[in-house]
Amino acid sequence: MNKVIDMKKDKTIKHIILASTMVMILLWINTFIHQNSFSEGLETFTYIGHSVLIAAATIFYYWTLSPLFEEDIFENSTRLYTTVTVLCGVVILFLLFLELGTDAISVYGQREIILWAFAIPKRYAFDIWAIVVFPSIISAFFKVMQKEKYTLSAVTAGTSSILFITLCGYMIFMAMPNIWLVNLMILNTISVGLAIHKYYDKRIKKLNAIAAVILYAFVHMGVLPFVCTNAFIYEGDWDYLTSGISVIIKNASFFGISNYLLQSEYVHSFLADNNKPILQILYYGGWISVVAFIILLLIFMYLILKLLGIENRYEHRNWVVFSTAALHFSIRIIMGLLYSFGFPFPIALPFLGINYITDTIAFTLLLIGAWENHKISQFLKIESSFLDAADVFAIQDEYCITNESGTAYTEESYEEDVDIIGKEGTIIHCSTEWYMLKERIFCVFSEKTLETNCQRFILEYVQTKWKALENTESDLEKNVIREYLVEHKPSCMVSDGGRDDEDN
Amino acid sequence: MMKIIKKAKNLLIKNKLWMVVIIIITIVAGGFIWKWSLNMLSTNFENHSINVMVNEETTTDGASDLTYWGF
Repeated sequence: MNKVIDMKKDKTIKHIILASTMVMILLWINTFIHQNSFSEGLETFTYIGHSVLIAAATIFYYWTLSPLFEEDIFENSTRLYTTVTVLCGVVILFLLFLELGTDAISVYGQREIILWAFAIPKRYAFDIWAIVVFPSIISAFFKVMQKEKYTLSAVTAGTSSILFITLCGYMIFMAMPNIWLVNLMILNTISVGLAIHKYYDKRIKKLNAIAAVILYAFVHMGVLPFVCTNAFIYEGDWDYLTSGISVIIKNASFFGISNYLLQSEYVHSFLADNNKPILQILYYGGWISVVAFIILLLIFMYLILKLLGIENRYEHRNWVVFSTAALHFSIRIIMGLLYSFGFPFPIALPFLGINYITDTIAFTLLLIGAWENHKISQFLKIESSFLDAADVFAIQDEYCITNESGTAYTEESYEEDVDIIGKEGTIIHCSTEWYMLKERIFCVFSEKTLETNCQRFILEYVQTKWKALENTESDLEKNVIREYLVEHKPSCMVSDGGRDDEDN
Repeated sequence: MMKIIKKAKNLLIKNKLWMVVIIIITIVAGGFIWKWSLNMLSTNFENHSINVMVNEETTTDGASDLTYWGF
């Protein structure tokens, strides 16, 4: 069984720390800009404090709510989904009648969801819908369609449900500025594309899958003109904005504040209370600072894409949610940068606008996803980490294992730390796990080390003696390993162990 | 004494408490750096931040004794 352990280092933890540091820097820049260019009189730790609290709340809610989705309670059939969709349709109609009939309830017509005394700004609900709710529902639909082997009835039921959910999104957010609806279109199309990619199998032709995504985007484009409130994507005075941008860009110095910008009242009134981070940085630090800032954003984008763990996309249960969040950030970075220089796509850079709250939620979800990816990667390496006992000890008839107090180790509890004397007299610290198969007792010893790739081996416990398995007992050994894998499978992995058809 | 050191070592290394120690140090140090750097930079731009410039311009015009943000 001498397998070469995959020693390729998992850099997820490093990427998590680096990405978190980047977010801190972005929040720091936001704090600096708001302290020096905004009238609100921001406290030093306001943004970072809020973000830490929101991140903690996100982790708490994910931790409490995610077990609900691990039980596959939503994976019944497309028939059930269609029924639920119809029921949702009834609720939506009911809410519409309530909105038309009373002022106490408003879900569609205003920029806040009003339920009697409660008013939830839709700007905070948008990211939750586009990044969490919609991708989760779409994933569930595609999973069921795949389970039902993409039969015509399954695809018809699934597609109509997806289109209905899409329409729900538009109805809820149609009161928002046009750019939000365009963003919704992009994010929904991305979610559907990712879900098709994840649940794609050989029963579907590749071209049909691509055509489905394009068709879905066209459906969005068909709906957009009916829900957009006015002709242009920007609600303010576009000419004023572009002239301000061009004045600052033309007159900025390479390093520090230029004299022109320092003396121009027009520039000061333009930048006051104006959330344009690139222009603010141009004013305070010049082009050198802007270049450094753009490099920082590009590194951040690279890190969040790395955090996704694309290699685990088929194993990771909520991968579509996390990948939508990552692509949401990427779009915000690219389009936000272009917008800063006058491109008509008014979207804020991540963590540099009022939406830093929802950005923090999305980023925390990404971190949770990365951590789950790390666990999946570790799990996938377990099988190759099993060694022959002979690789750890010299070949013996029986082996001596002592517990921490130095006495001989016998079956005492399910898990315990033990010391083993290895081949060259080195002491190896191991944890133990006991398994019983065919009325024989086995113990899996896992090396306790700070390295992520620890080594494991199996010994049999026979009448107070430790013995290695014979070469002829490889089936038994495989069964023990299988039991061990079942025991250690992370809950964030899909229940069927990944994709049905690995060749596609 | 040796026993206490050994126990402390066990707590820190075996139970991975060193991670908690590092996290606490990072939070405290990070907080200091955060505040110090913001103060340092704000002091640097004390006379020509947008807030100050707008305040000065509004007051110099004589339009109002209130600052720009004072309404």
